Amino acid sequence: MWQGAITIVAIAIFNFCLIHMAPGSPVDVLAGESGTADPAMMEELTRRFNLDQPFHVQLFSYLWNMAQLNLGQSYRDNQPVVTLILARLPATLLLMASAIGAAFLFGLLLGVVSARFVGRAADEGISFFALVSYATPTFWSGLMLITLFSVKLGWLPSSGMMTIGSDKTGLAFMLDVGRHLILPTLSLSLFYMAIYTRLMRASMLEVYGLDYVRSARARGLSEARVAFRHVLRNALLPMVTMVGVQVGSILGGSVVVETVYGWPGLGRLAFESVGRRDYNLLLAILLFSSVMVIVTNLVVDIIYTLLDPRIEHGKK
Amino acid sequence: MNRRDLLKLGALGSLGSVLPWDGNPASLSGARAQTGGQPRRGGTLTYALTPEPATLFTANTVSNPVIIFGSKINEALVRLDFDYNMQPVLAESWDISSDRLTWKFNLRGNAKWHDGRDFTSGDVAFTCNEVWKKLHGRGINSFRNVAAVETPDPKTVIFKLSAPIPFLHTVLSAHEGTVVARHIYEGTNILNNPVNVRPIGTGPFLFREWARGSHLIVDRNPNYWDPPKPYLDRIIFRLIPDAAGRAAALENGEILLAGPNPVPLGDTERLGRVPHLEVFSRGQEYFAALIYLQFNMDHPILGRAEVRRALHHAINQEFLARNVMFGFGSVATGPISPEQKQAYTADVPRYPFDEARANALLDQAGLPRGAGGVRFSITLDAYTLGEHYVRIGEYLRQAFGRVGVRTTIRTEEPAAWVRRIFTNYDYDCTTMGAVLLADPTVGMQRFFYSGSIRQGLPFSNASKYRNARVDQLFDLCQVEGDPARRASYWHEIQRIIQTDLPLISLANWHYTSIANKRVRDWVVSPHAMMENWAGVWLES
Repeated sequence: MWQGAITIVAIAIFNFCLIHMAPGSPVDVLAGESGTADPAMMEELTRRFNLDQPFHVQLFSYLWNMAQLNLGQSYRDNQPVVTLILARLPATLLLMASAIGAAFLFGLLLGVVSARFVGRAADEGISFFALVSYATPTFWSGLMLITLFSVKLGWLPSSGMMTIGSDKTGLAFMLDVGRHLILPTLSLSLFYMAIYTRLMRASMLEVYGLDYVRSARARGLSEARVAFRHVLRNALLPMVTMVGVQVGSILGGSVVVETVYGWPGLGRLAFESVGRRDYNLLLAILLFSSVMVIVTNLVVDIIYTLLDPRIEHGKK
Repeated sequence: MNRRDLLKLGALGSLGSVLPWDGNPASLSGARAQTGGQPRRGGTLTYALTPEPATLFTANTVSNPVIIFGSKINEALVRLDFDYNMQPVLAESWDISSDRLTWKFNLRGNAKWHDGRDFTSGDVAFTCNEVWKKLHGRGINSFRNVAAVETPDPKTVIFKLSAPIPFLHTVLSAHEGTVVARHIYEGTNILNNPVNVRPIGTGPFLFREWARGSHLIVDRNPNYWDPPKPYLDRIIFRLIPDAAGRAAALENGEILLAGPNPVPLGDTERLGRVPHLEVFSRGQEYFAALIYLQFNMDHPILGRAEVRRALHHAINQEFLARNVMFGFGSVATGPISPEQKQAYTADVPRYPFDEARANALLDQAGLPRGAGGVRFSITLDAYTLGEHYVRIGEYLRQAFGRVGVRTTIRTEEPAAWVRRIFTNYDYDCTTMGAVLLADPTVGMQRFFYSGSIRQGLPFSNASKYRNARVDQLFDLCQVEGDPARRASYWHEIQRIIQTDLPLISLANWHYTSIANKRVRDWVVSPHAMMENWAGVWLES
């Protein structure tokens, strides 16, 4: 626990220094966007945002506020940053859950199939598909999916999270969100699916070569039972580690996919707050992501023990 | 015949980007959206708004998205027609004294705020005195000479001026002059009033919701003062952050209207060929945008006028406007836009494309070619809010390279660029989009007036150009009531600036909007996006 807390404070200080090193201030941006500005108004804003204080004073007041769980106001939106983040969180969670879920499921499936038929056509095909998905930039696959499914075929919406102003409720609403979710999920999960497929394949093959698998076969167990009961379970450990690392990092949102699909999530908020030098908002998002990484690490450790009873906590 | 019709001619289709174009924005517009037809009630208009507004308070803002959204809710006294004459909105009629010091407006008898209260002259006086004059980025200067706002009765408002404001009619339109309700704002901290995020106005549409990062919605105001308008049931303002996403949404009909400049110039050209879409420059004339190449006058070499003149000769402006800007630009003759008809003149010193001349001038300036044919090296900053600034920078690098000036392009994100140019003055030259608006005093003076050399102030005079005569002429233009005499001052300013050349006016940039052909009657003024859209309707 203490380790986690110290890590978070260190991350906060590091983020703060990094952000303030970027040239330009939120006042520059606000004044620049307007195209014209009044010097008195700029001074007033600088004072209101506390930017006229020396750097170390700003840093300490930030840390002091953070200790009291006060993350401050967004300079631009004039709202508490927590409100802004919480408003975007559901969209990000939904997209991430569906993307990681789909990637995990299909990655697992393809990896297992690939390992079972190693060296055969199915394996070759899957490996080729994984390589292509891995090498395709997300923004490009996103745009191509939009061009195909929403511009040419007209089957799916090109952006947003729901049909705006439709006032749908219940099942109709869920179906509507689902329709909007398909393309972003697809383009985001392709990349991760490729990683999981290759990881799962390699890990399965490794376990297949172990002695206990041979003895299981010798005992006359069916090939399917060997694959799912003996090999898969053990081969899952590296997958869980990988998923754990990635869940933590992408809970901060996917900038590219959210931008291409106009998905109102955290990644876009973070990206926009960089451009606007909205320090408070950006710091809060980064802090939130780092907390998420630490929490998912804990969860992954717990899942380990469920998968492999030999791993126990507290015993080294 | 409009541009798209031209493109339809098969033989020319493949030459889309090099089509000769006469430089007249009107020829770029379809006539379709302006012609009448019987307006139809109903329907939802979807519009792509970008970037997301920070507030919805219109009366002090100079930010386009705020005005585009807010102008459907908060109205101004007047709007401008294509000749920049006032047309009635909240003011039914007006009377301007012959010395132009007294402007009397008769207000709508039946206009009401969305909360049911009557709209009165007190609202106008309050907005002018407490918001425009104190809190508006440009209004502080524009309304300075408004000495008093009198309200003899609830439906009459009189502006008393201490000196003529020759451009007052332009700043009373929705772009600068939306009116807010006195009973809501009086005695409050105006900029932090909670109504700023759920505005209340007199306009044809009622605020409904703002889902940050996703959309904003306004609904039809059934009690609007000008029945049977408005025709639309609802307008949805979608916030689509990616230009390619906006292009896709226009193509598949999710978005019916977008602009100004919703997608990069190359995409604009492509979308103009999609059968159900139309690209308009008409209706955006108010922005009067130019693309400048601004020099830092403190630079040891670029600080010399003869060098800048030589560089001007190295630039093929025709090529730039036609190809680099895909025909959405035209050759600029000087620092004032031809849209600013009251001030513009083409009778100025010109620097036609002539590389031999450029080379000779640079030789004369004592800058001979050295190793590798290079005379000297400069860095060119390209403003990154718009892809074409970088493309233009790339063209300039090539053009300057041909006369022996090695040019390196630097691109930074907007916040860093603003800090570098306007606070640190740490640059050699930079491309820049200049929005000059209806009158040069409001939009153009800041780049050349010595009083505008204000360190840290974005879009001020960062070339540090000083010319006493130019300053004097700007001062005269501020208060000159006689249009002919004022025009002669502007003409002189253009001639001096084209001689001194603190910056090169590369191209007039014709702002574009893209509309689905179902959207009708929205191009009603030179700032069509900032009208209240009461008369806009959708074909079924």
